[in-house]
Amino acid sequence: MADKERKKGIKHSLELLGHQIFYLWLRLFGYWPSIWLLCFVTGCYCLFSSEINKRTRPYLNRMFPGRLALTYRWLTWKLCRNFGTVLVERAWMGICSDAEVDSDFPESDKMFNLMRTGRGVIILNAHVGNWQMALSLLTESPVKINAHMRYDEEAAAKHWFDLQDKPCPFNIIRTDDHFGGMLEASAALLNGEAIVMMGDRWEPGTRGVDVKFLGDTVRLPVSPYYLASATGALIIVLFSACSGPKKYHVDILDVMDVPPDVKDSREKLASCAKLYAGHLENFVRRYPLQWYNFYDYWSKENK
Amino acid sequence: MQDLKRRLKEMIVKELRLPDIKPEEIDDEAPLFGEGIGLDSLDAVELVVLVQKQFGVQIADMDEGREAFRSVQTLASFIQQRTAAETGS
Repeated sequence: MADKERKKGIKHSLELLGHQIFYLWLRLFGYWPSIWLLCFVTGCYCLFSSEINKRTRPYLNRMFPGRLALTYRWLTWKLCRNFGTVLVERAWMGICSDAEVDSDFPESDKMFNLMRTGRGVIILNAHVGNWQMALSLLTESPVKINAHMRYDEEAAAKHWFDLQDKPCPFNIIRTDDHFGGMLEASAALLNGEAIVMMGDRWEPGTRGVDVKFLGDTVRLPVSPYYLASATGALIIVLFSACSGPKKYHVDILDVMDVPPDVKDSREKLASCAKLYAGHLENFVRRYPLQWYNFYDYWSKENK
Repeated sequence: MQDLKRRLKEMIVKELRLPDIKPEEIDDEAPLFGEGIGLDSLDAVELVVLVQKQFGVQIADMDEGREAFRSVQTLASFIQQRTAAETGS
């Protein structure tokens, strides 16, 4: 056990060192040399690691059925490169004062007007596209923004708000506290604030429902719909896609007004989750290589 | 205070739909979440809403809120203090 802990400690230290070297590279050489380095590192990783290929295969099999093994390796590299680009851009936004991204969010006024109703808003996102950068758009919000997230101050890969000299522009509600952050979340919504939540990952021990996604069953969390039903908050389903280097496009897929009786019915909660899963499926069919759940999403262990 | 605690216990059993527990069986000091009564995080959502609707008390300070929701006793004390403070002002 002590040996395992020691190895874990060494691995974490190496990760930290690797990231610090990368941040230095980014500061010294800027965006494009960092992307080239990313391409090289992810290329080596995907070529020599069977683990990452194993993790992406369940998704790639469903999105690109019947391809050659080498094609799946190539697609795995593209997934890793795209995910890495998200991380590079979030670091670049935090580190480089002249960092600028081209964001296209045609319905931003709609979102801000919904926030102004005072009902509280849940912005329901997913681990797809450029979800990290969608948070940065909300600094212009007319209400206080909270991010319901797993947050590790010791993590090697830093968020952009950790890397800049300014204070974090929103409040973090941690998912790993005693109440899963739900106490704070409900108080914030009752106060008319906005919360950014992820709707695509169910945690064992929490309430979830099974819905179809890409032809097979997955378990999704019910907490966003329960929160909305209990507090009267609106749900805005919002995904952000990378549309080119330093470019992203944000869409509101749906606005859900969840009635108070939904939280008392498993079937009604499942209907909400099914609606969300439908939007998520449409998104990944349009942007198939911007899916960043690197594990078997359909595994029985995730149910 | 006793009346408040009784109301809270009845509210917890009825609104959180706990058919196997009677209000009088809930110990004042028993943990509401995890062990004890065994409520989960979504039950916390309901409780926050109910406390606001039925007692007019909002959670402004999260440290205070987390402590308040520990047991029926702490919740009753929290509600009593907040309503006294609002009446006093």
